[in-house]
Amino acid sequence: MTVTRREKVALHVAFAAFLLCVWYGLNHTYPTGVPAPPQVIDALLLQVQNEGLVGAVADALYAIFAGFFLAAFVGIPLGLLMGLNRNAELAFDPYLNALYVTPFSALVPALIAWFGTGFQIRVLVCFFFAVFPITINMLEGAKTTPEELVEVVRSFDGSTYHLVKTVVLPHEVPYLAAGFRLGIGRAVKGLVITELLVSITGLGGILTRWSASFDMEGVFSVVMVLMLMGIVLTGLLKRVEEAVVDWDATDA
Amino acid sequence: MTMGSNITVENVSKYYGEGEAPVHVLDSIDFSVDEREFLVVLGPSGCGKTTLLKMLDGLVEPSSGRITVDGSPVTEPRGDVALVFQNFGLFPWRTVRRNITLGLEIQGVTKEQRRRRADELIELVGLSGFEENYPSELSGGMQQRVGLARALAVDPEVLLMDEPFGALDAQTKDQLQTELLQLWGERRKTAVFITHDISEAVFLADRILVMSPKPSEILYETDVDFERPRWNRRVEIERSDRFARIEREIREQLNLLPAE
Amino acid sequence: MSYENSYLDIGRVSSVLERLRSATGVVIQVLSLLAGLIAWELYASTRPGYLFPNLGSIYAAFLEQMREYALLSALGHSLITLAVGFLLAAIVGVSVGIAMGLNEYLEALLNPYINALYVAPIAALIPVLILVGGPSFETRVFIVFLFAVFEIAIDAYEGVKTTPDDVLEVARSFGADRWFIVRNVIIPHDLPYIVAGLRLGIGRALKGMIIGELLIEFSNLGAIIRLWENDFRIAGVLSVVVLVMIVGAVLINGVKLLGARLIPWRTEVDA
Repeated sequence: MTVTRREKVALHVAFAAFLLCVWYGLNHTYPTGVPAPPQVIDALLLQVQNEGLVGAVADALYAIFAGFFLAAFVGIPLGLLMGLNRNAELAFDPYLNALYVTPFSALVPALIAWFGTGFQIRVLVCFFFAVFPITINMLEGAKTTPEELVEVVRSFDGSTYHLVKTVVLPHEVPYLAAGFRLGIGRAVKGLVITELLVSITGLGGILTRWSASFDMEGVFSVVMVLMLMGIVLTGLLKRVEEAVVDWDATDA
Repeated sequence: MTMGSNITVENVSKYYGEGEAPVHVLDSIDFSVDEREFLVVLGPSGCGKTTLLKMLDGLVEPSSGRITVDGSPVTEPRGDVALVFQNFGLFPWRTVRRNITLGLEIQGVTKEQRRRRADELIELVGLSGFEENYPSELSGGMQQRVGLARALAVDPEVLLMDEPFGALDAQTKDQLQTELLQLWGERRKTAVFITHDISEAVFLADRILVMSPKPSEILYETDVDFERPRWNRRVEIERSDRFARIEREIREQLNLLPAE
Repeated sequence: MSYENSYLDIGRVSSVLERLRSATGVVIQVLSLLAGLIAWELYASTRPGYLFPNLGSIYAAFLEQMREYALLSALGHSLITLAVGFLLAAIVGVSVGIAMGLNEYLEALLNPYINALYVAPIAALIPVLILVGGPSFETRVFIVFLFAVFEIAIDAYEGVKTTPDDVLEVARSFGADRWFIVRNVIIPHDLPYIVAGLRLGIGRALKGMIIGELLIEFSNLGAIIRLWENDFRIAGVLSVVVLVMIVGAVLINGVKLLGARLIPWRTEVDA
């Protein structure tokens, strides 16, 4: 009774068509409030031409990746350390918990005062957003290393270095991949929040200018770009993660 | 012409999958079970014994052939047949008492009556005091007792057991085998018991069907005519020559004996 | 019948050793936290007070906000937004999640959208929502709703999909119909997942609440933050941050505890 591929395609086409109809319908009833799709495309092109949309997107991506790599650089060893050493875990645990509950959007006003409205603050926020899942996943991976394998290495008098190299790291690979996938999504979210609150420069700036003049199509277009960034980047890393898990399974 | 539980399996086969290479699990199985008989189906792992049992319960349909219980054909699960599962199959979110009353609940028995039945059975299987515990708090042996109580609660005509002690350690298994015969002796239901353990089969059965690996067919059939009750004469029975002879015959049938 | 071989494991046996170990654990955590706070103080002493406040001035700002800016009342109003949005997200999320788990067509249809929205930066939608719905209470509630609903739905859905085959088979073997199975097998199995979803969802909802209020400036906690930010008194920003952190920790643990009572047979699923 499973849904066939054909039925799936039909379902999605029908639903997408339905959504498009709803969009046009809303546009018809609220012509000022809801722009029609072609208007949005026009705005997009306009923004590319006049407002340097491409440049702003590039800057945003640059910040996302910079923050992300920083998060990996810090999070991977930190998570590993915490997973292997109980004292390290206890010591850093309060900070990890604090990170989880910190409302970064409320913190941004302070961050603006400290770091300005340029590249720095974006990288920093992306870093903070991404470092949590990366660290947690590495931690989880290290803690779930199968006991038997650990004992095998120890029985051959292996040092911690050997343990990490031959057992822990290979076991960590799927966790790392998952951490990366979650991390990139979070980094994008961090960037978006920063853009919205900084709202002078970059994508946030473009957004503010069009919002201020109530040009809905311009707002829609930027919003779509931002949403797509998150979805696409996460999707890419999901493919990577699936490939890694496949390779991992066949290798084992 | 006997009344009551009587199982017939007529020319039953089972295939899984379509297309090029369907998996042929069971091949022209023919047998019957008399009322109140304790039949053991013995065979290596993966030979389709579980599938056969599920067909008797109406959970799986045969690809060809026919199964009747008590004269009527089996098409879906029915109230007069109850199954005991190898991995217990208890609901983790229900207490022992509520697990036992599951079948009764489905059949629409009133709450008061369910409670009474449950109390009866809890005492019968020796779980008094554990009514309000959850399965995660019980050992394997105790969980299977719950499974047994659950099956007996609906007072079925036929009791089906799918390697019920397979997931337990040897000592618990031993104990539960003895207790099963004790219980069964009091109620005398028709029982079909599946296992791959030869001595378990010989100790429990009135009759043993030995099955081959896939595609499974019945290789051999033997009566086991130790007198009942057996549960209180276990050591004597298991040390007897007759026991050894039956075991040896079965081993021969399954090609388990080293070449002479 | 006796069962000398059976044993009972209820809970864990706490040995003295274990209690000792957990005591040192707490000590390490406390020391670590103290070290962090001391580091903060040291750094703050080298920076101008209005820009990088020390812990004392953060607390002072907090007191001032309580007295003159009706901090608690603002918090209360913020939390109402949170409560309404979260409740809606819980109702809709759990219903949709379970429905998707039970119906394959619904699953095929909604899965890609829900997964996409789960990873997408929902905050990006806020400018649109503000322009369409105005800077109103309803808009803020909707933002909270959007932040939480996808998490809750996905977790409820996953619980339904992972219902183990063996318990389903047991129910069928006793002749249970579909409705019985949904009520007595699938939903109880789903409960730990639903609780996990709610725990994660409340965290997300809180973030939605805050950012909604910062971008719709006339409201509650967001207003207070903006006021102090505009005055260049960062202590006032940080005091609200700390307050929200504490509220967040309380709410998450609250959901955890309430959830644990719903599922007495096990601990929560780690999602």
